[in-house]
Amino acid sequence: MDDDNDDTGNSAGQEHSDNSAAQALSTIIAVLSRLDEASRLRVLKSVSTFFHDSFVQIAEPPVARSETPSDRSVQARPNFSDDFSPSPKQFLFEKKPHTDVERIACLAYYLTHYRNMPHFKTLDLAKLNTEAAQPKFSNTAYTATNAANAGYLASATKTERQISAAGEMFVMALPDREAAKAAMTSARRRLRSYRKKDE
Amino acid sequence: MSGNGSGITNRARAKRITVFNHKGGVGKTTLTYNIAAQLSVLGKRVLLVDSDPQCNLSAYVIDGEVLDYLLDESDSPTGQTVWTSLKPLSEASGTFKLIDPIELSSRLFLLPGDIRVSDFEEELNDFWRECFQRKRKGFAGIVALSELVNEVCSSHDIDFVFYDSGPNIGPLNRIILLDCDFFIIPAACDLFSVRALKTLGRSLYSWISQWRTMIELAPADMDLLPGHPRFLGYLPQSFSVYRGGIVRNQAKYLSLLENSVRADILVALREFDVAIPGASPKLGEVKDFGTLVAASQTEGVPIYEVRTAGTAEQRAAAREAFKEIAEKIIRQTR
Repeated sequence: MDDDNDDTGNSAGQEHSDNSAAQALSTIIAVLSRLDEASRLRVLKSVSTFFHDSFVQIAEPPVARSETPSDRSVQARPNFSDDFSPSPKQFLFEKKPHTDVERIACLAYYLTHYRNMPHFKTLDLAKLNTEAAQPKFSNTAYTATNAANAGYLASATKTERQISAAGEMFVMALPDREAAKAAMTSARRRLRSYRKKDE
Repeated sequence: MSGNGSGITNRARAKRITVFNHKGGVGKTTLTYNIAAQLSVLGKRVLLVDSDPQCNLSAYVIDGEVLDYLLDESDSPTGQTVWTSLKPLSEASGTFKLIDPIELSSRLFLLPGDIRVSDFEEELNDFWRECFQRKRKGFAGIVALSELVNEVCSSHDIDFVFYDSGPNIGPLNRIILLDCDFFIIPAACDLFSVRALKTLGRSLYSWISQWRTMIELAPADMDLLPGHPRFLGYLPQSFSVYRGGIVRNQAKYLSLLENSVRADILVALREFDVAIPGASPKLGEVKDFGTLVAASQTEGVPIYEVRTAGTAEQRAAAREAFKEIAEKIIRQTR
């Protein structure tokens, strides 16, 4: 019986909440529709900042200029099926690698998880690095070898590499450097103990 | 019946600049990249156009393997070099194809070069002749690179364009210079650089005067290159400094360079009004930074951000030198 009451109470509460949301939405639309586009954008951004939320993705108004193919792609409205994974540039910005070897680990992680490339060549890392608007590596192959020696990468096939488990944990922990360092230390300790067992 | 002499209709607001000297080894590419990088640090959005078929600028900033890949792919529909864009004109199969620039950092972009741009350069001689015959195809070929740059400038809200030119007086450099709003002349402190200024002045005179004739011949509705480059200044570079002064055997060339710039560039081009009133002909000075330059090319970063060579003092001096040049460019191009 109590359960029935609870259910009824919950559904009534839900209905009330839906009504309030609809009312709020209708009021907001009515008020905002009186403003010009720039003012509307400013208000929406301020509301987003006020609630400390980044959920409101507000598109900048298009700059008045002749339309080009790239403009069309920029102005296209997002679909529900759109890919919202971070760009490589955004990913590296968030992870904040300190060294070239760490940058290689982050790129390897991105290829594995966002490009569906668990095995990759040095060229793939270099191309992604360019796409991420990062300074070029002095020698990508050499840096990748250093990353492998440091335990971030492992061999996959004769010509390809893959990110190691330790490398994955390291990148996942970034940008928290203490956690990343701890993850790497623990992975190395585990690796050493396996090697000792083998001996 | 003359064409749209003010240039491309709806020409983007970006100021187009080339660091040009037909003499090799005067630091065109190094200066171009470092000035552009410093302008981006100062908040300007800069597009680098590698229009040298040697692709040195692209090799400076892009990983070698990636550049090889771009060159291999440049003939394919997904190609991304200047050649990918201009190929339809070379093959007489259409107009230029819009390509996306490579983002080097948050405000610095690159249209990568291609060895096959030299094929387009061969066509440019024909386009130039066809302009004299008042053929639309000729004018379309001449303005193609400019229109590509215009589209990229519009879509990426660019403030400055820097063309990296090859060391020659070829047809590609001719259209680049005629498309630019400003040009800078880099020079080394040696006899050959002083001599080169004389021939450079003659070439510039011939290009600008020929183009002015073509503007008169062009069909009224054609978009044209502006053909009015202004002289931002010359840049003596790679001189050695000892005890705070330029070493004696190079110092004498500094005054010769200045005299030659005045006589062979400013006086020779006087009728085209290339001088910026009140501006000194010297844009700045870039001394020899030793190992920093080579390390900068290896690391793909500006001289003042090199990590593996030089001293902190050298980097600070380089930063200051390029900052002064960039700030002067911003002031003089307003």
